[in-house]
Amino acid sequence: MLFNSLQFAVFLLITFILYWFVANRSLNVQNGLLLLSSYFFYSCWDWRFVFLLIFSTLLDFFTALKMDKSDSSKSRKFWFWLSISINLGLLGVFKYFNFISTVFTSFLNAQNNYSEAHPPLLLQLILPIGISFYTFHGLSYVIDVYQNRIKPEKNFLNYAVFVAFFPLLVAGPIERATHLLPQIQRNRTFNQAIATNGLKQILWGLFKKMVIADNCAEIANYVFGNANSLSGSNHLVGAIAFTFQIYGDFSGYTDIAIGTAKLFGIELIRNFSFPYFSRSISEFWRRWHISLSTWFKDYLYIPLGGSKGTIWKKISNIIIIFLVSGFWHGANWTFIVWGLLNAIYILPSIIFKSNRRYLDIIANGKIIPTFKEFYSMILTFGLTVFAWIFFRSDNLTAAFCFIRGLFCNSLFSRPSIFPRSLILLIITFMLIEWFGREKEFAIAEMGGNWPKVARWLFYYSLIAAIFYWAGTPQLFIYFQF
Amino acid sequence: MKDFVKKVIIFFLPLLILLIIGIIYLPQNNNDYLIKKHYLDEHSNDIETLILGSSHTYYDINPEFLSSKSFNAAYVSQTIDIDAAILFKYTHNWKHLKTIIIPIDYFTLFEQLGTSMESWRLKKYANYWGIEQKAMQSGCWHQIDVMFDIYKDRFRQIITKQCDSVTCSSLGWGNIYKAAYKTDLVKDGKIAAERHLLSDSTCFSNNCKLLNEIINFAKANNSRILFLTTPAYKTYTSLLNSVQLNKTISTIKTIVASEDNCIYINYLTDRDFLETDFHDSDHLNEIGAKKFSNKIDAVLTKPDLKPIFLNYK
Repeated sequence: MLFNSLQFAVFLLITFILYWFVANRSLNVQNGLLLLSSYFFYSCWDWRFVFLLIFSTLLDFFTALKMDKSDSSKSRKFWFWLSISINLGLLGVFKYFNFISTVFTSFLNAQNNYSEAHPPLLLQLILPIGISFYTFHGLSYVIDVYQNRIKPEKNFLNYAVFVAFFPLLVAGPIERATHLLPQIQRNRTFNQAIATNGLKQILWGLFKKMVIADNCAEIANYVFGNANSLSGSNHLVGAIAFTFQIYGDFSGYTDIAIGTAKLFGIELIRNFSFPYFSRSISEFWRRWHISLSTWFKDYLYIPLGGSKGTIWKKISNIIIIFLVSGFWHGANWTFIVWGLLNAIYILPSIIFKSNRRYLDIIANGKIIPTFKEFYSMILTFGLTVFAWIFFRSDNLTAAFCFIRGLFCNSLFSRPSIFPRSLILLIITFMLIEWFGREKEFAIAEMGGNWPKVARWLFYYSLIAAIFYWAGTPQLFIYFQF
Repeated sequence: MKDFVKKVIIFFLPLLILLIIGIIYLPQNNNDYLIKKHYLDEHSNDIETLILGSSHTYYDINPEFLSSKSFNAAYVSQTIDIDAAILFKYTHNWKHLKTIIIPIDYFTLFEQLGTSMESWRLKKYANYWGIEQKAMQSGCWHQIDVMFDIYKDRFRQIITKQCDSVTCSSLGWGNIYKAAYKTDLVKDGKIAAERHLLSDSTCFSNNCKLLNEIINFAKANNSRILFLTTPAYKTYTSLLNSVQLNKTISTIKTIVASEDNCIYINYLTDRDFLETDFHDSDHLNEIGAKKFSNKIDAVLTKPDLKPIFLNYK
């Protein structure tokens, strides 16, 4: 059930009505409804994996309780590591087993000089949708309980809703128990301003996904599918198309998720903050997939020592965190190289201690940026486009072929793929994003001072644009992670 | 809460009313897909020559100039998988079908609609032809999606002030490429040659399998297949990748060599076609289409079909 499908619209409407008009007398009934609808939502992908989700939920719920009740630190540690190893074990089997097996077998075969080459042991498993996301929800909860940051949740219903809340179940944002659980525990009252804001965010998310991402996907799929027969300039068009596709796709999904949650009186954490307006890679990573970046920062980077210690320690910590982040995305060398490349991009700012520069939004309070800001923004965007080539390519050979095809004489030729209307749409989209960059999402307060008719006309125009320009529907990219 | 619900209803009500009015009152839009589908629904029993393929055959072969009862079911960006689906859709209707014409052009074997930049057309085949590809969803939700898409087409026509979007004759030939409106053949040749340079090996093997299925179907139906490479102007042909072109030609020659109901004719560099016959570097205008259709008719009316390889270097 895709967020941009009619099925989801009907599902959301029914759940919303039941939630506020039928189940509103009791918090437990409301949470029960949220849990049932979340499991139903998840079962629409593959009902068998609902059991895996329930198992993961039960595991973390009970191990957290056991940790809390443990008298000794040894027993506490046991329950902690039991939960961590089973969670990571499940993730490893479903997501990484085949990759590790292939790498390991290749290594062994190379050691034997391929005299008796063995095929890798491969499991025929379907990757449960959203497994990386809900596993990370659970892990953060267990780690927080272990480190006494929070008390364990005693009510299973509350905890199960925290893990399975349908807007964030399959592709995040990766929530923290400290932020989401208190909202699930307390009574929620309907707030019209927040709900209206949620609807606006859903509308903007749909525009990003259906108009920008799906149209860019057609170009990117074609160029990456036929890379070795296209000119350098077409490679560039394809790489830029993917850059906008992944942003429109993932941030669009996130906007719909956050907007949906607002309709139920729940505020999810922010996941994107206009990343393509960043002036440095450090700033980009503070604005792109924020929930994952902060997760890795809090649960991996800081425990490793963070930016403390010798320069080599700092460098190794950065490389580790980006490699793990790349690997989190998928079991493929392309993601690892993508992570490594981002680590290389960010290292100079760590070494020269300039990574905390640009904490505010670009040209704050101004209409246009300075030349220096603009130059930095374009440079950062260019580096990002380059890194996305690895992210999008099927394998490293394809990525390097793509790069070779990109940097050749024909880079300066006129591209045969030149979708004028899509380029105009992207320019309009980026202009709206630019003017709304100081808000939570681009159209959050757009038209706040306009007469109601003008404001509604703007929303109707967005709906008409979605209706008129929607591209061929594509699966959300981050569902595969 | 009530205020919110009221506002949401007021906001969405005009859209809902517009949608309902549109679905009920807007005239059924006429388009090429529907024309072709309706024609085959009614006349597939009588057709003797069926033309399939992409824009090359869509614009290049006018059934009016063929002696047998013919229909042009080719269309822009139509690939072999769609050709096969159209052919098999009317499996039991082809009672008089003698010849199936299938273009084997430079890109034909390396492309399928679902993986091309024109993949959005898949929905049109689902909506108007009722041809569902494996990748598409099914069930009642799909029907609603289809309804929305049809409504979207009508909406677009209103916006662009088009009464309909028909570009073909009643016999399915693409009749909008007039000699009076010619594109820059040099510029277009370069762009088209690059656009048609493809390297999808999965498509290649799938398309070869589909060709075999079509050949077997034709055999069972006592029909013959005329594979042909359509004429193109030198600004296009001179830029074609020889590996891709040779692979295409050798593959179809190999297939044809082992089948007694198939022939292949290569018109790619046929010198009978002059600059004035082309609308753009790889499509004929109505004058060129007449010339080409007459040539095809001469081939079809010969008692024994023999392969001809014209001027191909």
